[in-house]
Amino acid sequence: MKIRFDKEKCVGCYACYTACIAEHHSHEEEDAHSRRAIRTVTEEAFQKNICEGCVHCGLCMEACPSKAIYREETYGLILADQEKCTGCGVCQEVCPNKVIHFNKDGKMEKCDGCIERRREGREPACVRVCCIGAVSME
Amino acid sequence: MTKIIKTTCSTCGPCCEVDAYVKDGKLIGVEGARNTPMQTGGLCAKGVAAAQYVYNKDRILYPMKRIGEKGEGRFERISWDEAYDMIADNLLRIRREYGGRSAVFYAGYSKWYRPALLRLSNAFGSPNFCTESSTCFQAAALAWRLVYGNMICRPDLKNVKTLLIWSSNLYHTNTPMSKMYQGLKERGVKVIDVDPRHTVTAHDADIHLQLIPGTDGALALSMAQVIIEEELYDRDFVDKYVYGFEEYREYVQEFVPEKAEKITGVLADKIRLAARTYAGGGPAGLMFSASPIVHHINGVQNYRAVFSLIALTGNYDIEGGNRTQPGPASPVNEFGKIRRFDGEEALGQKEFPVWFDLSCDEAQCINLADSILEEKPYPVKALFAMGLNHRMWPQPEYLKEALKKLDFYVNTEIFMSESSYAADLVLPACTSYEREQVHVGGGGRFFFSNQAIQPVGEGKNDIEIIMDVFKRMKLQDHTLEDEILEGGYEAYMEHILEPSGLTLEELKSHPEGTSGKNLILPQVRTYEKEPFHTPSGKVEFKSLVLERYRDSHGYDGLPVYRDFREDPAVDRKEYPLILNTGSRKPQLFHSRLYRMSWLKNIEAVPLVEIHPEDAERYGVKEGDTVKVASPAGEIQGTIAYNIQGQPGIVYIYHGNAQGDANELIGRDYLDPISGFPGFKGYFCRIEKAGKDV
Repeated sequence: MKIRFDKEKCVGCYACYTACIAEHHSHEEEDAHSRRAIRTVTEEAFQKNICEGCVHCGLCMEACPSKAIYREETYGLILADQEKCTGCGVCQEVCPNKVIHFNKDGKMEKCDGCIERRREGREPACVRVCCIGAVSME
Repeated sequence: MTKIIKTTCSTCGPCCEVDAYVKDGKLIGVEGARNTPMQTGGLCAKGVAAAQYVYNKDRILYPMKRIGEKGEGRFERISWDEAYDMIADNLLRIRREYGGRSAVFYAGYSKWYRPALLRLSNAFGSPNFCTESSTCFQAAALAWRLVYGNMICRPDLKNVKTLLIWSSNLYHTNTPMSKMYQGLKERGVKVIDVDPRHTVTAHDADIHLQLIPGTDGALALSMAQVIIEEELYDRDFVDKYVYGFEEYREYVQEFVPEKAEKITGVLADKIRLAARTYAGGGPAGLMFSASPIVHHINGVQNYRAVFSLIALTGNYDIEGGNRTQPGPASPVNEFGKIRRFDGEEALGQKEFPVWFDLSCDEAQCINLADSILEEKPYPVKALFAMGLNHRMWPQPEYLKEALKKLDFYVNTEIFMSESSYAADLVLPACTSYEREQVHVGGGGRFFFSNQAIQPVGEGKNDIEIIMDVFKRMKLQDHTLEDEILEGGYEAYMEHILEPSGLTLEELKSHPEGTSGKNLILPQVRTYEKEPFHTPSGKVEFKSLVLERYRDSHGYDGLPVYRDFREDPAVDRKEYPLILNTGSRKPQLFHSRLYRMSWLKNIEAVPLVEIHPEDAERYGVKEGDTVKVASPAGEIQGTIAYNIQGQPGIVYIYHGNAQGDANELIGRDYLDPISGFPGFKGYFCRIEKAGKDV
């Protein structure tokens, strides 16, 4: 099961972007940020914002020189071990969707595939909230 | 233990059904409801951020009375009991001194308690029950009633072959409707979208008519010209059921597509294509929108021109057209059933007589500040408000100042808003998560919204507050009468359901919602059985109601087009850009959600969205702080490029305290028929901030 993102379908409603914050943070964390990223795509006489997210492709894992990124076995999610992260930024450079952030301690942060929800038998928050199937499970 | 509770989100209007996740009495998450027929399971950004709404630090927790000067915003906690005494004493004193009409009963957001508040206003003897509909939706309803005499008929989406969406970016206005829209596309429905911007909704349409804001009337009249010229109109329907067709036919000749192209910016060929598709690709529905068309100074007439297309093409009350009742319905009490006390002149009655002739059972309070400050048409001394927000009015600071002059002002609110600073008393309301409610859905379906959590602080259900206030006043004045307000909230919910044949208990036992027992079957062609509720008994292309005020108010019976750009009062050299405020954003809702950081942080606010060509022309660039000035005022904002709009037009969302676009709209810049402000068609210039310092 993989999380998919269809940028053609996405209408930039920010629901997944916000659901991600709500899932991972308490309401008091005012500056909490989403593990998804807003990007503007432009065509002739048209532009829209889309909210890209991690599709757990594993490119960051392959590139990480510190082996701080690994594939979790049950769901196949690509997760980060912040203890091992040196903050070198290579993962951010290779990420095709530009959805890797670094926190204030310089440690990488990425989508955890809502692993807690998965263990409860629920789909990730971004998948659940999307009204048009732009974020989906495959 | 986490519990899932079926309830509703009422952060904006539509009241989406949600599953609330509650742990140890705390709301920990919200998801679009599952296992109900009306919800696809998804939700929007506003709804999913519920925890920042419910537990916001701005929540009013207790009844509080003013201790500082009016407007200072200093309050101290009091008991509900003391609060009710203060309200009863002051309102009854003011009624004795100035009469019942000197008190205004006002409903802002939320809207669900309106019938109960109208009951309170009636019992008190005030004709001035007012709502936020003084600048929202009601002018659209008015435009419709002038033509058809009934409530707005929605498109029969199940059966449409062509859908004309007129100014609604529904992906962002009502995100959970997205699936419905995509379903239409999959079914092969042709979509024509009219919108000044190339929005995501327009992008998915077959034909996009990108008009200059405020030129809707000219575009609709031009489509009519094509439809009549090419004999695509429904001659039988028009002959039998339309009043004023000959004059209308003559008038639309002024809008041949080549001329309309010059006015609207839409290519003549595209106007023809849209007219042919809508008239020839039937059955065709027209999707209405609450405010974008009527937030123009020719708004009601523009919308009449748009609505007339339905009858012209024979799409009124047929399967797949705009229907009086496309699905089954179940009768209910309250909403739309309570008549406003009209024994005395109400606010706005002289200026906007049509609003009252086609009564929507509320007064028109657009000039509330003048009523307070200049005592026009008579002194307004007291304001019993629920969810009053001065940012709804153009030049809101003017009203905010005026509120300080009231003798007594109480505001019931979820959040401590700036509008409450001038209040003598503020009362804490609940969010929908903290109370119970009976919901009347579409198609005769009802559902029960459960209370998911205990009220935050001492917050109360608005209707219980209204009932408590009524009872407290009745102790002092035995002439106040209203059985329903005396019965308690449980009985009130039973009363809503009563005509449907359902009991409250039955409804509660169906968490997925249930149908009313008494159902009225879907209808078509109701006009064959009873005449239209207009003076002529027909669809009025020429309105006999408007004609009454031709001499006194200058109204025209035909849906005439007047161009806002011809306003001689504005120097266009000084203000060369068109200013359009308040077009929907998916993450914001008027002013109330700026206090939720997760949503506010999505983009700079206020954002001044312009075409890059204009940026170059006026020497500003993306990210610059700029001054936006109009004949009415100025604000600062941050420039963002957006090519969804065309050069020459600036788009700013409203309601932000750091720079409210509504300050730029003149408070006298109103549609003379409805009193609605021209929020979406005014003028401005932009320059780099600090330039003239």
